[in-house]
Amino acid sequence: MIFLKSFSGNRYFLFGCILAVFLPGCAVAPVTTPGGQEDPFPLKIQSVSPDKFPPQAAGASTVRFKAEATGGVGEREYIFWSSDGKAETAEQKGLSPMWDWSPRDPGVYRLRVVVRDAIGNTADSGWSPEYRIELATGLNSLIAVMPVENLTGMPIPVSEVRKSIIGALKRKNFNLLPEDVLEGFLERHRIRYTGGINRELAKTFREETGTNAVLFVSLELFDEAVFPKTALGGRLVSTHSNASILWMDSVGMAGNDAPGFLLLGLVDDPRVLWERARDRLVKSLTRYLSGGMPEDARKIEKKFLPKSFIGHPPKPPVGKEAYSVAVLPFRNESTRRYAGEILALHFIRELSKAGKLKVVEPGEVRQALLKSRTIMEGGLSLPQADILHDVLDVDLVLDGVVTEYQDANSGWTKPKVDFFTRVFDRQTRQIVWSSYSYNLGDDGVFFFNLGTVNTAHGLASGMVRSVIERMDTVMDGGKEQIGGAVPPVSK
Amino acid sequence: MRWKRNNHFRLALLFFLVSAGCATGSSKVVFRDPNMDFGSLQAVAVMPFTNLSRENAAAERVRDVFMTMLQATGGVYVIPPGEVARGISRMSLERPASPTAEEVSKFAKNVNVDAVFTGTVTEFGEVRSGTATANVVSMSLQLLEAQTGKVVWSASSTKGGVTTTDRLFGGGGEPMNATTQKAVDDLLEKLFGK
Repeated sequence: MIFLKSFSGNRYFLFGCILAVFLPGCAVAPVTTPGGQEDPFPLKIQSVSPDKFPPQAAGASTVRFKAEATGGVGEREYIFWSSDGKAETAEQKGLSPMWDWSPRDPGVYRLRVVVRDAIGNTADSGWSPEYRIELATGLNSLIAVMPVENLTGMPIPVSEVRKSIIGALKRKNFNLLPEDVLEGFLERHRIRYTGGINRELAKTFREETGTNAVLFVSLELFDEAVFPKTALGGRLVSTHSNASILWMDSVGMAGNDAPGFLLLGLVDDPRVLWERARDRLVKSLTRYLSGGMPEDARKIEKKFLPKSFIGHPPKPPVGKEAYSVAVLPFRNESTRRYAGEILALHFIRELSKAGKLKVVEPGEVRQALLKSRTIMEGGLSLPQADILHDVLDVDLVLDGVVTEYQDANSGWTKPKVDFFTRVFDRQTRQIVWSSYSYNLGDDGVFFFNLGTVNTAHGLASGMVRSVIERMDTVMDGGKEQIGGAVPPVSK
Repeated sequence: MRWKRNNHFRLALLFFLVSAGCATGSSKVVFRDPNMDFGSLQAVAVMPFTNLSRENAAAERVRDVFMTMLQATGGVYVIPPGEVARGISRMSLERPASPTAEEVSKFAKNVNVDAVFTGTVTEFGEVRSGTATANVVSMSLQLLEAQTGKVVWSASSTKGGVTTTDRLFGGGGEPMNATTQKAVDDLLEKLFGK
């Protein structure tokens, strides 16, 4: 009993000894600086990140930059620098790792953070990639809603569609250009093409009506059959001299997209489906104008990867950081009307969203094609590509062929999309990207229609996003050459 | 007992013969000029293909797939189809799908390529066997050298068709694009001799 008691008392002592021996062994030896102070870790900037993606609106948005630094001795001092390409300005100096930036002038900016610790060690983040600030567009900006472009290939009451969109925008308190002013402008300038805008016209729009941005809506699909389907897209273009694309998004929906438990999620009424699609698009635009992050949680799916592709990094543009690209309407070899225009819009949207390339407004591209009288019989030739490069001042020209763009027209058929893409480089005068993509709506579906894509819009969106993702890998210059072929999908 | 064993053997033999008859493997008919240095080819042009199938757009589709997949091998640079069209237009070629040796030489010089591909799509579409249907693609290609206009490589491939599984279980075979991709892949294997 005595023995047990003394063992119990010794046990605590023994554990104490073991802890005392092991814990100092785990300690990291401090580094002593020449000044005699201890510097446990070198000072490092881990990240500098904005809370809003570019482009943002001048005089309307406030972007919060947050710097994360580690190591160093004592308190850290943060100095935020900005550069507009002409001058470098120290914007904020202090102990706060956050800086609220409210740029007043449109332009292309770069930002940099320098951190200094208590004993004078410094860390520099280096200049960030370009951050574009566009001419003011916010919820209060004056926006003109252009007549809806009908890409359905069928007669659709587009004026009703437009009224429905305008109604939804007004409910969100958008500041829209009055109808009579818009009609007067369209008549005065004899504007018949309402699917895009060129630089001169954008400038005139701004000068004559005070419009800050023009909204283009294109209706891709409106099918009232059971189950109904609809697809529409929107694009907001600045009336600033360069007519840049500020926002672009699209929505494609089918009534049987989400059947849910006991098929309670099925939508039979085309009006209900239309309202859902319209509201989603308006929500996306409102989010952009409020300065929010783009909402796009869809991932790159392996089944949508191009079946065959090759890419070489193009030569870096002289005097510019980002490549600029013009997307031409695809040559349409499918039975679907306007498939070429629709696929080009898919590419413009995904390229704009990716934000790595500067995409030229399609109205500007159309103007250049008309001015140069370019007829691409059999595809784009090198002299034609040269002309477009010069007229539009772009580094890359993307064109392609669409051979299938088919929506399901009954319960038994599945949507089908099939296209080829090519990118011409200005400097090398060669094709730097070539790919072939095709998919069916039920690719990769094995059980209970899980993962079925019910619209060609949904299919094309996934496929185009995959192409852009692969293309970005090449443009980033990470690899000398990227290419390969994916085996055909086996059923 | 002996009769039973023989019967099994006969059944197995019959099954083997019938199964072999259903096979749709591609033929290995390839011509390759032994004197040609294929490694010297840097840029090639693909002429519009001749279409002998019932599908109107078959030749264009197969050509586009072939051009993209050939470029994707990284072995040669394929000039854009617009450049080919410009070359044809400038030379006023009457039959670009089957040019003469002189025309090939001139054309290659014009568009600055080392060789020219010509091709024929003989079958493209659905075939039926009893109640079963499937897609089939059949095509042949020739590679003409730029200096002399001579054929230095030629091959053909057929992919798809109604298989035993299709006959037994139905299903309609693979999609047209997948069948085309397989046929082109087969030809590229024959070209690069993998």
